[in-house]
Amino acid sequence: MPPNGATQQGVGMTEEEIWQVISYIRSVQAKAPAEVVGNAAHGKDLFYGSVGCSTCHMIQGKGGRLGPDLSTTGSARSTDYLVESIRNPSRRLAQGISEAMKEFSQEYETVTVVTAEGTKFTGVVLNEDHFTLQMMDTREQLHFFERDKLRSLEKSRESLMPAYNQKMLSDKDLQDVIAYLLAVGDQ
Amino acid sequence: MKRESMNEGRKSRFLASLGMTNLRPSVLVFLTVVAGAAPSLRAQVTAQRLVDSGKEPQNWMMYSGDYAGRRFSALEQINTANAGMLVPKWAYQTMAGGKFETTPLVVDGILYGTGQDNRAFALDARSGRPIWQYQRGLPADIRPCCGRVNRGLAILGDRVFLGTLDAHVIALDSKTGNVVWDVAAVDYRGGYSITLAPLAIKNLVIVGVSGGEYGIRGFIDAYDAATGERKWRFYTVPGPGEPGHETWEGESWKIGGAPAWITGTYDPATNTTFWTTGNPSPSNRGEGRAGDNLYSNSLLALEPETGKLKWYFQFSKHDEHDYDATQVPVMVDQGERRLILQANRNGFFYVVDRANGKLLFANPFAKVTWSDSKDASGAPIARKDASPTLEGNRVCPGAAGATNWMSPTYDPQTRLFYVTAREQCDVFSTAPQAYEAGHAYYGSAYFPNDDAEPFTGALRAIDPDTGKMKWEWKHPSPTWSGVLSTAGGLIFTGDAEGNFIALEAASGKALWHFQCGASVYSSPMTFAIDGKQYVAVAAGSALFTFALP
Repeated sequence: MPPNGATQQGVGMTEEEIWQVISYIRSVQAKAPAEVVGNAAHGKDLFYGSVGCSTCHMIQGKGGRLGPDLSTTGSARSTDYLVESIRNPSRRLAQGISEAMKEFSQEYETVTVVTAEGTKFTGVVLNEDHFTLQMMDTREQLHFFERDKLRSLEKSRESLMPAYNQKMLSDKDLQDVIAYLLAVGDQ
Repeated sequence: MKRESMNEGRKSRFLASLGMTNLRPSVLVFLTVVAGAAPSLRAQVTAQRLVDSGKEPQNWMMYSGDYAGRRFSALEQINTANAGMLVPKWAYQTMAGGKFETTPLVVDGILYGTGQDNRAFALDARSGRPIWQYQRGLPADIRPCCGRVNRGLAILGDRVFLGTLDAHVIALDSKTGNVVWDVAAVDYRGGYSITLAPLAIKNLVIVGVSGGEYGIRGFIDAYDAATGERKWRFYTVPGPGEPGHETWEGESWKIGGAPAWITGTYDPATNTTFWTTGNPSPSNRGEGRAGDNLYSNSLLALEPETGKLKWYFQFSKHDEHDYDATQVPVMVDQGERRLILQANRNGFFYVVDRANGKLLFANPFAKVTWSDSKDASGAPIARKDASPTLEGNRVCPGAAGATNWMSPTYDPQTRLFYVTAREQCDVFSTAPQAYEAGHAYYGSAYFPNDDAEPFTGALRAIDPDTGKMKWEWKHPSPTWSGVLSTAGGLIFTGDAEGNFIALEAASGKALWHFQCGASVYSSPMTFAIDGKQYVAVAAGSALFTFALP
């Protein structure tokens, strides 16, 4: 019969009950003793300093807007997920806006448009449908377009976020950044 | 000639009095038939009116618009030349959460719809103002698998008929919403529910049940519209001594599933009603139910008076991927050929001879990996290695199918079949599961495929002569909206992003769209009143109507 919506998990449950279960799982996940040996204070320095995370990410109101707010990510995501998101952000794009009743959340896809006047903007997709595009450019400016009025529109699943390899971010520093995310997420 | 022109003059005056003169001539011919029997404009809906629904295209008298299941309207006031001017006329809010799947009926100026949690309502179709509202008091422990949804009503006489989430069939007085009769089809605590719009044929109200996730034994019932007395039941899983029983291992037939949860169609010429069935239970584990598992995932041809099976065609034998065949079986005539068309959840588009159930051909309309060969009849055969495994096995289509319950449409003008398609593969896993009455029973869990790969959707126009795709309209993400075609050369559909869209039927070119504010989980319809054509669709928790300014 119809998995009405994508999944059969949660069969017979109301949407509210499903979210209660998700909240519970997330709460358990946060309490699990993750193998984090990092130094959260140093991680914070890196986040707002040399690693440059805060150029695009906000935590508790401080930082950039281009990427997802990371204030609660530490409590919502596994350590493995966090590591992958930093080392290989394009592998699984972060999820953005989730609309009521829509099966899939918008992802942080990269988009480049050229307007009818020839102006080019690159940034992330905030939302889209068949006819329109809502985006934020790399200067944090919002743009709303009707697709058929654009000269070109190219989307990519290659994240605007650099893939932080060992040279850019050592394993130790990575652990420190994650320690910071987890510490903030627990607050 | 003189007599004809006099008739034309009378027609014009009469239609002018009804405000119908701005419809196109071919519609006038249709409407004149109704106008000629003016008293019937507010008369009861007879069984014959349902048979002749094509003569009154201003009304939408059953779930799919006609007995053939075409979801096609002869109305053409809204057409390719003016669709871009469509504007919203009114909206009706149920204020209920969850998916709003109704296709409303419109008869003689009154719109009848259903909402979440077994709401039902009647509206002045001109203004959207309610004249009655009904909501069933549901037990706390009902077991709808996939939302507290309902897809619509049937109408006959002065009653509308509702199937409920606690597996009752109810007759409501069409003028007041008062309950005329209320019968329990079965004990819902076994996992049964009813979500489909019933089908009225002659003096009968025919329903099927949902519950393929709960190890039910599926059936199709017919009730006397006057009294609610059950006239027959056709078990979609045959019992001991019945043909097909041998296709079930041991006692597995008792919990074999095969629910009939989408409205059937009816061929008055041969007095045959066509119904389709869903998955065998448990949906993702074949162990313990060896055999073809008749009549799961099948097309059934039944005699409406008795429920006697004339023939069947099974699309997916011994299914382990939840490939319900519960898509409206659309009747199409091509010359001498009397056909059933179905774009099946398993990814194949089937053309079946409706005289005998013989397959004419099957062609994929979406990505398929579960089958890579066909038998002598041309029916796709499942690959042995497509079965779910303990570790998980990636198979296309995924569990939501290449399409699902959303209605397709057949447009006799373009002679194309239009269907909402979904491109998604899933990793199917399986594990032993003990059956427990009324509890979810999958014998598995399936997991969406790697989420690094986005899922997509499309509206596809298929040529029934060849099974080949003529055009497609890509959706940014899969939609649960059905499709409507009209004589105005238009296709209407909705998307998950909340757009309701008019497309040119011949080409797939978008002509108009409206942002409803939430996903469309319903199949649109159209009607006319006071000479004005409306198009209606449910989205979010509102029913929207649109017309020319």
